[in-house]
Amino acid sequence: MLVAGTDTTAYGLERSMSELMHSPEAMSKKELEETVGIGNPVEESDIVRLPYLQAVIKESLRMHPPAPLLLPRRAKIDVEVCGYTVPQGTQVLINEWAIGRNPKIWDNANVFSPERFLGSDINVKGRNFKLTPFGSGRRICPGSPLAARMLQLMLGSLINCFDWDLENQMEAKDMDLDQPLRAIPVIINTN
Amino acid sequence: MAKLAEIYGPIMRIKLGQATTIVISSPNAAKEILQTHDTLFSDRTNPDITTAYNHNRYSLVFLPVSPLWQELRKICHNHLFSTKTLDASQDLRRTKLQEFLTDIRQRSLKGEVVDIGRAAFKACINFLSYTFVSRDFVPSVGNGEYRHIAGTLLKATGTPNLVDYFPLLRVFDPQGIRRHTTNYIDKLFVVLDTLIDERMKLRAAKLDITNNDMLDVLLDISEGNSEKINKKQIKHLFLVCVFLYQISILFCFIIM
Repeated sequence: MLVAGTDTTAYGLERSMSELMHSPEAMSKKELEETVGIGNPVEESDIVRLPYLQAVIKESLRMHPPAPLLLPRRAKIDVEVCGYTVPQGTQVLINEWAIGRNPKIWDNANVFSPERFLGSDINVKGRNFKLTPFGSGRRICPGSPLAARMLQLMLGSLINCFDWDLENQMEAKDMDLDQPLRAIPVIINTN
Repeated sequence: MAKLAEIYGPIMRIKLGQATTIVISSPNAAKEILQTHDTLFSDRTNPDITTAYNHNRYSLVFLPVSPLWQELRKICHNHLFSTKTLDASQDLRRTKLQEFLTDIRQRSLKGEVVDIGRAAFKACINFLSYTFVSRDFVPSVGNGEYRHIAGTLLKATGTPNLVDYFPLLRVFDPQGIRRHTTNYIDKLFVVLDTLIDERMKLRAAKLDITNNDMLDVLLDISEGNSEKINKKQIKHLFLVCVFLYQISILFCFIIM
């Protein structure tokens, strides 16, 4: 748990921050300021009252699933799937990345738009197969409740306690989203 | 991969060496695998690297569906990651969050750039190690050695291993991947051993005030019924996800 729990969650946090900095209109602090108070860190008990923050995390997991092919499963016997026979012993991967970016499934699939999850009942608990970043069924990732808490706690606090500038006065539109994010924090004055 | 899925449809078959892999790229087909036929697809393939330290025989992630797997899964769902346990360990994470923000505040005062990925990595290790054992795992390994261990393990798990495609090579471990991994798991286990032994002593001496961390939860279960979980399994449970992320990247890498 120590290594991959860290790497997957850190990746999730970095990608969410990158997307938010790339689309400043998505980095809305209004909900945080009203619920948590300007400049305060987020508490775990705040999370239920932060639907927009939850939507940001879902949107980030849709576009950047930390486990893009989930983890391999194996066919116990020959199984018929959508008209194809999957032979016994075959390794099966779910291409979570392709599902998340499919324009037939998602409007503007390549646009970071957390609003799409507001008022929607899609969650990441493995019940909606458009979005299963933690897998689903018997083999669903048991650590997902902790990962979700950590992501929301850290991301919400980073946004609510600081404004962020890109390195070398770079503008958001010039960002390379495949590069590691480097940014300068500016403390938010609470007075 | 997304392009290939467009060309070849939602179900794609790939053959590498002696291993056949099916890649699913539509929600409907995914539902068939993960829900309709969940029980028929409940086992995992075991990449060779997971056999270091026989990890595949203890790991929640790689065990086939079996009584031990069921027991571990129950412990995770009902105890380790239950709302009650996570609520109880909130204070541990709050402390670490404050440290994380103080760190960033100091950077801000100096006008320094933060590499978000690195900062997040460090914060996540601290969050998890506090949630697990109420201690900073990083300093206890000392001098960035943990990062080295983690980095090496990740590199090893991220290296495509010929053995996974040509099973006959297994005995030879031609790239030495399993040997290296075993070496580093060794180091991690020494640290975990010390932590668990210390805690067991404190508990035996009744000196330990409950920490509300996962190690306490696991030792409670173990003391109640050692058949459910023992020290070795606790260590493997903590190790479990060492392989998780990189394995998935590994498949991605090979197929791309």
